[in-house]
Amino acid sequence: MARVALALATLWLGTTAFAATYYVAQVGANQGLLAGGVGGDYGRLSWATTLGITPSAADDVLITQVNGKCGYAVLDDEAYRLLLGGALLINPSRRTFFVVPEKYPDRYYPANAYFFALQTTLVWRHGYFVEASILDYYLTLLAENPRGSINNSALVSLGFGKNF
Amino acid sequence: MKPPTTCLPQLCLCTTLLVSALSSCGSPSPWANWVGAQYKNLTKQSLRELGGSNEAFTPFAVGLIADPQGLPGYLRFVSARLNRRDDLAFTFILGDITDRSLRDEFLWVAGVVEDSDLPTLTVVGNHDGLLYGEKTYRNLFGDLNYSFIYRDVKFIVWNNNPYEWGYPDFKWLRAQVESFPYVFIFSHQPPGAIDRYAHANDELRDVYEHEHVLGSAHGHTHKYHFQYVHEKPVITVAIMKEEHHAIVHFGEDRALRFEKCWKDKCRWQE
Repeated sequence: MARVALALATLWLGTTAFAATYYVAQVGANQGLLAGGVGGDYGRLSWATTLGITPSAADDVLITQVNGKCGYAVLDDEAYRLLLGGALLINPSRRTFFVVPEKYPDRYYPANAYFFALQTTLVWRHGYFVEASILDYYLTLLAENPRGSINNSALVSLGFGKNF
Repeated sequence: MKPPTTCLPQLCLCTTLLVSALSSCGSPSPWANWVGAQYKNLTKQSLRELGGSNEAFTPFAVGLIADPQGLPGYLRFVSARLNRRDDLAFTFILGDITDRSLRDEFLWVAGVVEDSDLPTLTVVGNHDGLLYGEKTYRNLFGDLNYSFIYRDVKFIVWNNNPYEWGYPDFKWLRAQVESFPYVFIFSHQPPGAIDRYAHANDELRDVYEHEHVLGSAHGHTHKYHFQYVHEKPVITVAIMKEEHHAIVHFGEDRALRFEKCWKDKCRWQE
């Protein structure tokens, strides 16, 4: 399953690369400690697909993830654009699963090979951007815990990067 | 000729600000697993705070919290509530401290443990063994199986999550039970509810036959349950949503009594 997902993600990345109008390099915002890929703009819509890597403290050295994100420019100024959108983050490693492996009882665990994220990105015309991202899971935590009991900044992943 | 201009100071300032913001603002990836030096060996630290390993027995009580998975806000509230009581020696979290073994989840619990006025100890749960959970747990808290003596009672903290770590280490458990005349067991999965290997439940029940065992406390099932196994009291504490928790009292002659609590209201387990 993980290999199929990786193959599909690679195919997606390769296909979209033909339509790309710029490269993307970024740090953080749930996309990996370092992420690189391609992106494009269509009017107020923006998209990007990246491959992210994060050093691992365990024996697998690197955590690799494939990311797809898109956003809509709610503000489109001469100097900057403010995008609101979402991202799909996929980690197809041997440690993760898309559906609960057979050895576990049904619904024993939620899938942990992917997350959805809500994001907002401020992109300057020269291509630099800052991005804030929050996982769908963390949004459910906000809903399920008493109001004010979780430090919201602990849930948000901040990042920055450049389109070039 | 004008000297060449440089934006190095500004660049350094921007970089410093961005790195600072990043390091203080969430994980760069949901699967990131490295932990900084902020929290290390919390089990050791809590045991140092607890002390009491050479003290003679006098009555005391222990706060019990189960399954704070995905409930870091409630955990902070319950921990604060237990801190306000003046009859507790320490607090124990009965496993599933995370829901998905994410680094952030571990760090939130580590923060509560660090901030608590009472020494707070943990046992690993099945939800803590996914992804890089074992590595993160060991880094932040310490060993998965350990024991300690407090006021002449030995507390055995035993990992019994078979899907993640295989058949539980009964040899270690039996050796610990054998090693001290009064022992109390903390494990995530209660007797009768150990997953995967039905035989492990029978083997655990047999352990209670030993005269050294006073009783045990568990989580995992998310519901309160009280039973006697070979006449030893065994409590399973409900998930701490809505601030459910429990207290175990070690009374005169080490007789055990349990309180089931919801927020500030507690009632004795008959």
